[in-house]
Amino acid sequence: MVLCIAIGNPLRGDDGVALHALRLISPRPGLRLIETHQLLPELAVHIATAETVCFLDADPNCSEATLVEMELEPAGKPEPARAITLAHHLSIADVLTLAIRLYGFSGQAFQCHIPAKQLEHGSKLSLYAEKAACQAAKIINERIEGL
Amino acid sequence: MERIVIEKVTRVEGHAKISIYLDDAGDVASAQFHVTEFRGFEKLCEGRPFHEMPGLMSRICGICPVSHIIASSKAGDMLLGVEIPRAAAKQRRLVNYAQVLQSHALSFFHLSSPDFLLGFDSSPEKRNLFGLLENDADFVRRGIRLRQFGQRVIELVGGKRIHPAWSTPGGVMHPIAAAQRDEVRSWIPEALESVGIALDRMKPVLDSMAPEIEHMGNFPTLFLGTVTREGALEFYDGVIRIVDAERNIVAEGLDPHRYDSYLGEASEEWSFMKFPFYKPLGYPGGGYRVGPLARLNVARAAGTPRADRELREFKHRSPGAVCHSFLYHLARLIEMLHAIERIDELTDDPELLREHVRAKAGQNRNRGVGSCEAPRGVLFHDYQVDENGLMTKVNLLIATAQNNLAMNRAVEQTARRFVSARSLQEGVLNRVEAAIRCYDPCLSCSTHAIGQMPVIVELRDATGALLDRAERG
Repeated sequence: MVLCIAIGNPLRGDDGVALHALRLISPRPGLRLIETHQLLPELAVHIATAETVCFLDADPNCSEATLVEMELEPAGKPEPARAITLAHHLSIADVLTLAIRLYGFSGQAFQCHIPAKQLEHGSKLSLYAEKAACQAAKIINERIEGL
Repeated sequence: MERIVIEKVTRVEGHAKISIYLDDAGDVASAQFHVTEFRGFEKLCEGRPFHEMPGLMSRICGICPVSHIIASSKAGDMLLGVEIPRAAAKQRRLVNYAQVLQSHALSFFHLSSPDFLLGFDSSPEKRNLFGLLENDADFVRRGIRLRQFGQRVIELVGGKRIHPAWSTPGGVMHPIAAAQRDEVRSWIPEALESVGIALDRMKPVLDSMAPEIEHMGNFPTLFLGTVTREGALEFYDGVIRIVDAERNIVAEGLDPHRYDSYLGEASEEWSFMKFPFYKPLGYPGGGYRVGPLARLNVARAAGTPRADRELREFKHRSPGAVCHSFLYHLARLIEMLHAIERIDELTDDPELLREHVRAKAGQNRNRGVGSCEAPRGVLFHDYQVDENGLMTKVNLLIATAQNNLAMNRAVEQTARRFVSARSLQEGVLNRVEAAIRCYDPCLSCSTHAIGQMPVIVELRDATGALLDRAERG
């Protein structure tokens, strides 16, 4: 099973670009799509049921959509020190670590960085982000077909 | 006078700073918990149609949106002047219990338990969810499953996990199907078992940490919460009861719709969060606490068998009201048990599946007040509208703000006990933070602000000069 998780707030302009890209991914058997505002611990349960997981997120620091394979920390390796803020949400790396260490996830993980420019209040994407969403969906569709 | 400031409090939601002032002798003279963010949600809503308010209000918070939607919908019910269908009220109750469950699970298992299961003096890099995972993975998994259960109920009934917009003035948008109800029920045995395990882990901690708990926000206050007419624990509808530190009833049967006749809101120039107080006792003498500890102190009974057993034991911990802030954690577990039992009862009620879930009417009033018990305490939404149903004034009295005076006292007491030098040691920092985390504050809600919450602590001398500063997050 391939799991795509799109992260973003659709009311903060291009921050919702990942959600838009997710809706452009072609539905097919064995593909599961999740939209979320923020990453929470229980997502680790869903990740653990997948062979491949792909996180889609807005990235104001990139200029074109890119799919990057993430390195998984081995389950037996001591946990690295994390002086992190654990408020009410986790980072992509955190939720992936939970999936590995709590539920034995051992599949492939990718992060799709999607360009974003305007992060102000509003539900509309910039043209720039709309194009980036199409590009991201194309890359992911191709990757899924290749699996 | 010297001053210590803890900036960016971790594992709570929002932004805050703690200042600790030392006197000429180098002892703690006072402490302040500053909330340094501002959002102004009340102002943003002016001019909007009241029917939009539940959807708008849910955006205040990603953790307790359901409570805001429910309080907002109830204010809308009052503006319409309708009594909503019983199935709709039961749906709202069901989802509110699910929200209490998932929010308390996050607070207890993921944010607070590293403090007491790994120890206040363990390294800050390890004293978090991941450190706990190495120590007891099953415990972490159970916390995740409990949250997942609560979130799943919200998703099944409300349509989505975060910011569901299914509740509206007059009721809810759609009925529940039998299959949805059955899925909810299938989670209950495991959820009850997990909370039982957590209670078994928590109670010995209370004994082993007794000396610390004694000085971590243990002081007399009033306690305020919603109860049924019979005085039992209540989260959706009911009357307000206030008890004092000896558990004497100070006020009973107060109408939540008239909250502003007995609750006032003071401001301090050093914090964006207001300081609510009980008017008859004035400010700051009328400071009170809300939330799990307060609810269990004001309720005569829980009204469900397992929670009632735990509540009886809880009440035996003190001859009067339980005043230890640390006991908020235990109270959270008891409320989780209660919420699961209530979810079980509601899913056993055929009325929950009835199809009539919305009463329709035009606007019949110009002011509506809605209240319910949110995970962190009682929540009030007060709306005034013009003849076109557009909002002219909004007042939100949020649970975390109602604990503001108490959180400040907890910080000061903890600092007095544990700060003994002109610099900040890690253990001190975390104990002061932990005193705040007992209240599981959601500063985003209480200031109606955006964002997550790091902490900054500053230590200042009698002249105001900065002696030390620590920052996390």
